[in-house]
This record gives sequence, structure tokens and C-alpha cells, in this order.
Amino acid sequence: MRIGDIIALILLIIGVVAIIGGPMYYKSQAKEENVIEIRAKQWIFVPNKIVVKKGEKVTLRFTSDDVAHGLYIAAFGINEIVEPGKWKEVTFVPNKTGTFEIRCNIYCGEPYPNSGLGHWIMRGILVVTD
Amino acid sequence: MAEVSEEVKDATAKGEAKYFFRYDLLRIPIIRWLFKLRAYQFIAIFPNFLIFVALIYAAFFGSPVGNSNLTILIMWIVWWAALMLILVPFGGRIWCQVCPIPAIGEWLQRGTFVGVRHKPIGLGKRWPKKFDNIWLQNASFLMVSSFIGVLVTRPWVSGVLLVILVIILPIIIFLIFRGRAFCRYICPISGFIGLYSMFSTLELRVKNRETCIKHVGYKDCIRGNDKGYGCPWFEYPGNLNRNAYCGLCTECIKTCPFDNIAVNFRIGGEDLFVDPWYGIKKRGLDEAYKTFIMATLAILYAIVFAGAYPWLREVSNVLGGKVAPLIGKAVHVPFDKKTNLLIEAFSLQNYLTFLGIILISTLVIAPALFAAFAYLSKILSGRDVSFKRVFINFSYALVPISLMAWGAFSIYILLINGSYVLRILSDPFNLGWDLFGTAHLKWQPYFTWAIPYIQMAFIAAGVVFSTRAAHEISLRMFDDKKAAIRAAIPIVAAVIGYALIVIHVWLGGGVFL
Repeated sequence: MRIGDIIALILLIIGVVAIIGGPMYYKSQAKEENVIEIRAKQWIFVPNKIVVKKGEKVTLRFTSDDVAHGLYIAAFGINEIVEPGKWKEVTFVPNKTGTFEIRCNIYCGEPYPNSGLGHWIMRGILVVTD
Repeated sequence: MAEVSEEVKDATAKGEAKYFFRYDLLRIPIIRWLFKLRAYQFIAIFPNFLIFVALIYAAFFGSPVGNSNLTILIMWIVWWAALMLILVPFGGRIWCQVCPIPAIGEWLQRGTFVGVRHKPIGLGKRWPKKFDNIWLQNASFLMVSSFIGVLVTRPWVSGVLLVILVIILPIIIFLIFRGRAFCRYICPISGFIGLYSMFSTLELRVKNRETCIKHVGYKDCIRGNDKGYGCPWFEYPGNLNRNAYCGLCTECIKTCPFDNIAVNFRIGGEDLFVDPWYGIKKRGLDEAYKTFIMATLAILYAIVFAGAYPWLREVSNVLGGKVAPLIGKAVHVPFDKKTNLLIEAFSLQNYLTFLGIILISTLVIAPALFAAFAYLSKILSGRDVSFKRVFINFSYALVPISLMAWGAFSIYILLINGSYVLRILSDPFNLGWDLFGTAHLKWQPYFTWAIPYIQMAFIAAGVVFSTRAAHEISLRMFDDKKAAIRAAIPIVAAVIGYALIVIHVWLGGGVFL
């Protein structure tokens, strides 16, 4: 193998690893910092069950994969709307235990008119443990 | 016998095309040094290769929202607009020189990134003679176009296309066939770049054809030597008089023992008018149909993406699940009651409808309409020239106007969606970054007031260039000037008709008015 090929191969490996590994590393760091990512799409939250510990600061990073969605957790006064492809962050300290409802608070459509489905039953749960 | 016709014949016989201006860029030392550098192609491809790796990653792991996804915005707005507005008109196949799509395949085939190794890895077969045309490229481009509605909105679909185009297909083709058979015969992008590169201001030609003719025996540019490979695009530079199939890969610049290759910046040139030299692929229906495909899709894309026909957009959205009103059934949305999830399902009805619209408009209606004008040309000329020759040769007159129609389309998508691009640069992988402080930019179309004027300038320029092309083609086909002018009239009428349709789509079709 010529020296030129070796340099080219090294450059390619460094480039590809940096491009793919960089974002992956960033994501893994975010997980360690008690940051929970929530993706909303018609008409579910992913994940739709979040478990956090009472008294421990947590950050919810919220995005939408299709249309504008809301993140509404009445028990902790969280009320955010996010546009598709954008992120919103909300940090809070859960100060009570229990199971609390997460809802979408902006109309995001339904499969057919007056169905009572889609947006109307788009929900998840937040479980706060001791 | 008319004087002009004789003059043209003489020019053709001498292998000298007419130019208003021509300058060999290899006279500039830095360009000459770069193009002669063995590692140049790797250096040129490397940054784009990394960008394509990022695009593939972002397609699957970035935002699934089209207007917030790096892949969609770079591929279908930045890349497309750059190709149609700058790279192809001014650089011809310059994109092919730096294109990362065949890179993996070519590196594997050669067994080296930067060196010269003449024994290819793989089967090294010759491309079949019966497929020595661009019908496969026409088919691959139409296939991609049939999914355009989801390619520009679903990042993962563009990701799948990129994986097929950048990894799977090139590796297979490069390991079976020698050279750049993939680029020359299969790549869906290469087909239209080749067509429009004939209208570009950059060309690779030999400085003196006599030198090539006198150089008998071993042709370094065809078979390669220790400095480089024989032309991977299967061209003989000595016979080049059209840009269509020269990938500007710079191999012949490196291998020519007489330093007889020039890379000319030009104004003028005759690629659209001339019959290819002996030994070079002749003009044919494959190239004519490529023109019809591109000319028609420039209109169809404008209607789909910017026109006031939502049903057409619905039909093109083959993953939307909605059954379009065109089909006459109630709207049906695939929906999983158990999970409350909207399901994206492939709609065969939508796909077949959109595919049908594309195939019929590009392969039947457009050629049939043009055939009527070509037939009229033949009649008006009063000369005994075959209809097929008239039909094929005059089809090249549509190249400038259709390129300008794509320019009109591209400037629209660029200025309307440009703010999305500025936004994505700050957060390319949808990780919540704000690298350049533009992540929170609101969508903002730019210079909307100017778009119709720019578009009309494009179309007007297209009419002028196409009219000139029709006239020049006619002069070469018929034996006197009067017959040539008579024959060109219906083609110019077709060009003006096409221009009026494009103007109607943009100004009268609900986009701006």
C-alpha cells in the first residue's frame, strides 16, 4: 500500500468516525445528565411513559416529528408547544410522587372528523417515584 | 449551396467548433498543477464524500420532519439548485469530477485511493453493447421521480435512495464492469448533467486534433499509463466534440504524453448542433427522450411543488395514506386504533397514478407533441431528410429552454426554502445545537417580489438560446439556408409554446398570481 493510500484511508476513517460518532457521543452524554427526550407524533408521545425520581432535577427535551404538538403536565405546571423539527427544553424538580398525565394541548388532528380519537386521546404518563 | 452551410461543413471537417470566447484553464498554473496531481480526484471527492456520509446519517437519525432535516434540505434544495443554477450551466460535468456517489465502488475497483493500478478488482467486464445508450439512465431518473413526493418530505426515503446510490449499486456495478459504467449508463443524475453539460461554459477538448490523429499505436488516453487510467468514461478525447459523456475526471490530462488536453472556459461551442465524430456514441432517441423527460418534469415538478393543484401533491405523496380526490373515493387515513397512531402506508393507487402521470407526460405526450412540430419542419424544409433524423436532431433545441425552466424552478425552491437551510446548518443532526446562532430562525421566504422577474429572465434567455440552437441544427441538417430557416420555424414555435406553458404555470397557474 502506497503512502498516499494510507493517508487517504486514515483521513476517511477519521472523517467518517467524526461525522457518525460525534452526534452519537453527544446523545450519550445527554442521557447521562438526566435529560429525557420525548418525541411527539400523530398521535403518540415516544416514550409514553416516563419514570423520574422525586427531588431529582430532570430536563425534558421535547420535539415533534410531524405537526405542532403540546406538552402539558398540569401537576408540575409544564405547558409547552413545539413546532415540527424544533426542540423545547423544560427543567423541573418533581416534588411529589404519583402518576401524572401528559397531554397534547394544541389540536394536532384526528383520523376523521369528530372521531374523539387522535389528538383527543394523545397522552402519556409521568411516574414520579421515591 | 448556401455559404453558411459550407462554412459549417468546413468547420466540422476541421474539428473546429465556433466560439465567441475560449480560454484554456490549464494555462493557470494552480489548476494545471491540481489537475495533473495524481491525488487530485481523491482530494476533490473527499469533502463531498464526508458530506454524503453526514446526509445518510441524518436521513435515518436526524429529524424526521422534512424541512428540519439536513438530508432533505441539502439534497433537494442546496444540491439541486446548485446543479441547475451554477454547476451544470457553468461547469458542465464538473459535479461528476467531485461526485462522491461512485467513490466507494471506484476505490474498490481500482484497489487504491490515489495510485494507479491497472489490474481492476472484480470481473472487469465490458459494458454490453446493446446498453450503450442512456435508456437505463432515463429509466432510473423516472424511477426516482416517481417517488419525488416522498423523497422531499420523508428523510428516511432519501436515506434509502442514498444508500442504494452511494453504496449498493456502485459497488455491484464497479465490481462487475470496468471503468465508470455506473456513471455513464446508470446514474440517474449523470443523464441530465450530461445532456445539459452540452450547453455549459466548460469543456474538455484536445488542443490539436492532428496530434491525436498522428499518434498511432498505443493511445495512453484510452488505455492508461503509469500516470493515470485510460478514460473511465470510455471516451477518446481526440474525438470529443460534445461534453455529454466526458466526466472531467482529469485522467487524460495526466496520461496524455503530448500535453494535448485543454479544459476550456468557453462562450459558444457547438455541442448541441454537431453530430458526434466517428467512433463516439451517435445522437439517438435515448438522448432525445432525455430532453423530453427533463423538459416535461421541469413543468410537472413546478405544478406538484408550487402549483395550485393539491390533488397532484396528494397523489405524489405515495406514503401519505390518503386516497386522493382524483380517484373519487372518500378520504381514508390508515390509523391504528389500539396505539392511536397515524400509520404511513404505501398507497399503490397513488403511486400508480403518479407514475402514470409521469410516464405518459414524459414518454408519450411530450414526444408526440414534438413529433408533430418536427414533422411540420420536415414538410416545410422540402428536403429529403428522414423524419427520425429531424426529430432527434431538433430535440436538442429544447435543451437550453428546459434548462432555463429548471433554473426558474430552482430559484423558486432556493429562495422560498433558503431559511430552512440556514436553520439546519446550526443543528444538522437535530440534537438541539445552535452552532451558528441560526437554529431558531423562523421560516422566511427571501426576495419573493423578485422571483417572477428572475424566472421570466430565465425563460426569455432560454427562448433566445433555443431559437439559436434550432437555427444552427437546421443549418447543419438541410442543404440551403432558406430550407433551414423554413424548417426551424415550427421548432421555434414549439420552443415558444413550451416557454408559454412554463410562464403560465408560474404566473398564471396560481403560484404567484
